[in-house]
Amino acid sequence: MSRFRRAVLLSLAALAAGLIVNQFHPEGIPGRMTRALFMSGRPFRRVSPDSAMAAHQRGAAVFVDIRDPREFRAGRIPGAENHPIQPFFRDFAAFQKSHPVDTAYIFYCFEPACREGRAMLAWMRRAGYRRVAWMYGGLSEWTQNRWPVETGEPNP
Amino acid sequence: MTRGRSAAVLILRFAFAVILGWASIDKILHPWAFSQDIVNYRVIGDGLSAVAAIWLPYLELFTAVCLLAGLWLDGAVLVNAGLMWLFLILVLQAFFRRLDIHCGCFTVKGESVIGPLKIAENAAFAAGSLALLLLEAGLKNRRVKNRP
Repeated sequence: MSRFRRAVLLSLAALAAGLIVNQFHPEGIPGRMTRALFMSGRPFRRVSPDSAMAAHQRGAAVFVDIRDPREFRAGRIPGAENHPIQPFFRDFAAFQKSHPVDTAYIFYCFEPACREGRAMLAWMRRAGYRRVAWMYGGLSEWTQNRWPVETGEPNP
Repeated sequence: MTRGRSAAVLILRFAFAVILGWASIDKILHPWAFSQDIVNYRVIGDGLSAVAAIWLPYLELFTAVCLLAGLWLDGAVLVNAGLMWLFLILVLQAFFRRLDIHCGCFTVKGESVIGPLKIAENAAFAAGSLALLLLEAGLKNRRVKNRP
């Protein structure tokens, strides 16, 4: 067997092992999450922090904070739900059950670009959710504007 | 001369096995964090970064095992050189594009940012991997020639 063939086989064996272990890994990247990440570059509907604030005041949208629970407790948009990316993709069926398709959702991160949020948005659109958007500027711009922030455990 | 060459190959094999094995552990434990590190290099998109984060740590680990055990040695040496040169190119492009990012070379969090030291480290690894490739190829050719 040639050197190149062995190198290719070694690479393929590593890929196979990675994909298998990833299925059972507690911090693994679920397959649907990888697919959503491939779709996350598409131009999804985005809202400015000003429009998001207006929607928040009218109660017109559910705000989805995708950061980890520790960051979520440290400060969030009042009334926001916490759905970190990995649990979201691991159990999307549970999310679907408790979130109606016709409700408006606005995803946000801390940083402006929010690439994980866009991946989640891509997956929601694929599942039939049409009123979904992400807030550019993120929580960083929200806090810079000195708009209200909620801390601690969320209300049940 | 051949004995010196064999010793050099053995030392380089062991050194790269340790480097790759060590580098793979944290990435295997935290694939999502590693995929973020890959995205930060701004060379491939989010989806491919996720695939790379699943694949690369195991490629490093398998290559380390092969280098250590002498299994599929010629292939492992080639993969090792490919990885080391790839890492050097990635680090260099990040440096010249002035990306303020963590290396993600050995750990997925809290590692030093990319600077001249990190470039020198990766250049040394790339040069060593090339030396291993050439030395191993030379030894293999000699073995083939000496066959009765």
